[in-house]
Amino acid sequence: MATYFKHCIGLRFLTKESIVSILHEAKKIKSGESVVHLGNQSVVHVFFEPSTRTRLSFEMATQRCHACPMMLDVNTSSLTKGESLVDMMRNIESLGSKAVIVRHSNGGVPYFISQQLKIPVINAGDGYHEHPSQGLLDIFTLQERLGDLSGKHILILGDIMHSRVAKSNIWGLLALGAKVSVSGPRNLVPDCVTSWGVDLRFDLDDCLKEVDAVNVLRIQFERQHGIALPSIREYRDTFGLTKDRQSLLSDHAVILHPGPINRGVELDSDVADGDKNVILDQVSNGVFVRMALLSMLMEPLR
Amino acid sequence: MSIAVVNGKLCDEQKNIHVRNLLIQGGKITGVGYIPDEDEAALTLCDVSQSMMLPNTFDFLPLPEPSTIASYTQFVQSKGMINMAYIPNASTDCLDSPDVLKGMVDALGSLSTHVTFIASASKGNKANDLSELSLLVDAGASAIYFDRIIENEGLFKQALTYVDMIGVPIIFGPMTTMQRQGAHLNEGPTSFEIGIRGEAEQDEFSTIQYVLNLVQSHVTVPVHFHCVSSIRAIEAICQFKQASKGLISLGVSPFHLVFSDDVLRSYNAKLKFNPPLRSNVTMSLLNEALADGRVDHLTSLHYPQVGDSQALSFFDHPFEVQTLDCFFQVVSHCLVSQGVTLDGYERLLSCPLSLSFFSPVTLGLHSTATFTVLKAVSDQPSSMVLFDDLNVELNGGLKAIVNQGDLVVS
Repeated sequence: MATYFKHCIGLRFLTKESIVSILHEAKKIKSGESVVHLGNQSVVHVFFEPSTRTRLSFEMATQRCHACPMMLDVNTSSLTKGESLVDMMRNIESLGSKAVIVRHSNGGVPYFISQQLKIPVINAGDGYHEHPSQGLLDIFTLQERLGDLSGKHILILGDIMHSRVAKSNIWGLLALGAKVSVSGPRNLVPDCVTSWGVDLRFDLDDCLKEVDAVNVLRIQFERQHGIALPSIREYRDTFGLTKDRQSLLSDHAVILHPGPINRGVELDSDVADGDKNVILDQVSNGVFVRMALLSMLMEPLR
Repeated sequence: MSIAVVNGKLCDEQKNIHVRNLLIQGGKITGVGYIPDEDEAALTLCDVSQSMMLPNTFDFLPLPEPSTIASYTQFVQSKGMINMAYIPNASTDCLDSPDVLKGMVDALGSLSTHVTFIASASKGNKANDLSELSLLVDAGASAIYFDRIIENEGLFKQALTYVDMIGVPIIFGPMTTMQRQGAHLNEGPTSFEIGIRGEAEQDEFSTIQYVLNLVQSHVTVPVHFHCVSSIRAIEAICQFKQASKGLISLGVSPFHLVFSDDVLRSYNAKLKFNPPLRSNVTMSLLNEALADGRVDHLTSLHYPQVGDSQALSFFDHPFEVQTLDCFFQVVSHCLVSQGVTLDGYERLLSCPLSLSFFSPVTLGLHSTATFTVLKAVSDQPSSMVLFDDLNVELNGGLKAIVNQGDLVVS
């Protein structure tokens, strides 16, 4: 079942078989069928951008794989003395780290690092490129609720333009045969996604009646250049998933959110805490998916 | 040692094409048309059938380190670029100091007949203060370069008026705001896919329109746009040229004619151009513009190697592409593929006539044997690896470079 891939930079770079094998491994880990034991090998976590959920999830996943997570504080690293990123990463490799987990505010940095190192590189989010482990855990959670995703209709709602989560979801869902639609403010939804096989839907209320799941994205004010939205109030009225809009969803439909939630903006509290949300399942599943990634990318000690 | 370059095509001043045999001895052409019966062992024969001999190749090149200007100029000539105009380079020198400029002219010595300088309109090539424009021209600048100064409309107008008074041509740099806006490639599917901010072709078009409006009302001197990368911008410049009957010209990079931004999907920093590589659709339209004569000059967009950028990701890598090693191969491919007439080779690769930086050279008896030979026929395309890892099929090719009588490439 296992499919060879050396790094996890983005779901764009993975085959359907690789994605399926990661999800399968995560399922086995969650059920207890598979136990990962990486024999205290070191995994260095380098986060150039703030993170709570992803950082803790990777740290927990590393520990549960019986590997040793080493958190690098970039603010006190030799980068501040002028060392290049490449040299720092090569030093980490030479110190004996068996994998590197990288988050960076610039797209392409994990890819660039992966070209320089022999050890696996896992992208924990780069600029507005991709967040592959988030995409995988979203898909894993959807599979748990909806089963086979082939033919299922998933709506991704919000700021598509600046969202790395949206892109990883789109690549992963399309690979598994799902029908993917995107919706959001016209200036934050690029037309080019149609060439990937994604539908643009600006009739949000009609679209909600058709879908099996909605993945609601956080409005990422920090990644927008200039003011892209007239006001928070207008966004909530036009594209927020309110209680009224939730009622348009079919009974079996579920609501996802990658967190952190802007309550009262993209998601009302009634919806965020309602019975359709699987947000905390996503968080829990994140650990299993990341364990699966580590176990498949790293060599077990013999 | 004697070199016989035979069966090459030459374009004369009346744009007529002749097939010529040249005998080269001691760096000079000592025979035209008739090859003496030399001792075969002492004669190097170079058959350049179906190829154009170009003695006036020219390009705008960002300035290297001023202390290396003589050796760098020789390096550029060894790649087939005979004449060059150095333009400001933020990594080395902005050509805004008359003293520095004078020093470089002196350092060039006899090479200075092949070199001119385009001084920056503003200090530091920024948008705050005018350079000493008259003094720069006195020191050896033959035109003024407008780059970031266009961001400051008031200063921009003053500079246009002042340069018009001095009476030298104006060269406009890339009509993008990429470096100011933090964009790194063309806006579109590729920039969205790889998660790096791009700048739209529409932005270049808007900037060109703004610049043309001010040019129309402020200057009568020749104007050249160094590199334009979008079709609407080219159309706007061509319309302006027809309406104003002004001395206006534009350059395009051949790399925008053979590569689209698709090649950046794997974060290929070796092709991080400014203006950026555009979409496949635009690439086709730019090729049409080349074929129908709307392009006046083909520019390499070559940057000198300054510092070590190998350890930088695509995002951090500067807009500095080294293109001279393959420029003429790619140019030949474009010209052959688009069926450009043979006189077009000379026109597109020489200094635009309106700028008058260099007197055109005709290869004749006793003239210096310096020219570049490009294939002018579409034979079997050959597969070439460009920029270390891009495998492309190219027609035509670089046949030979003759530099001061030395056969550099054959």
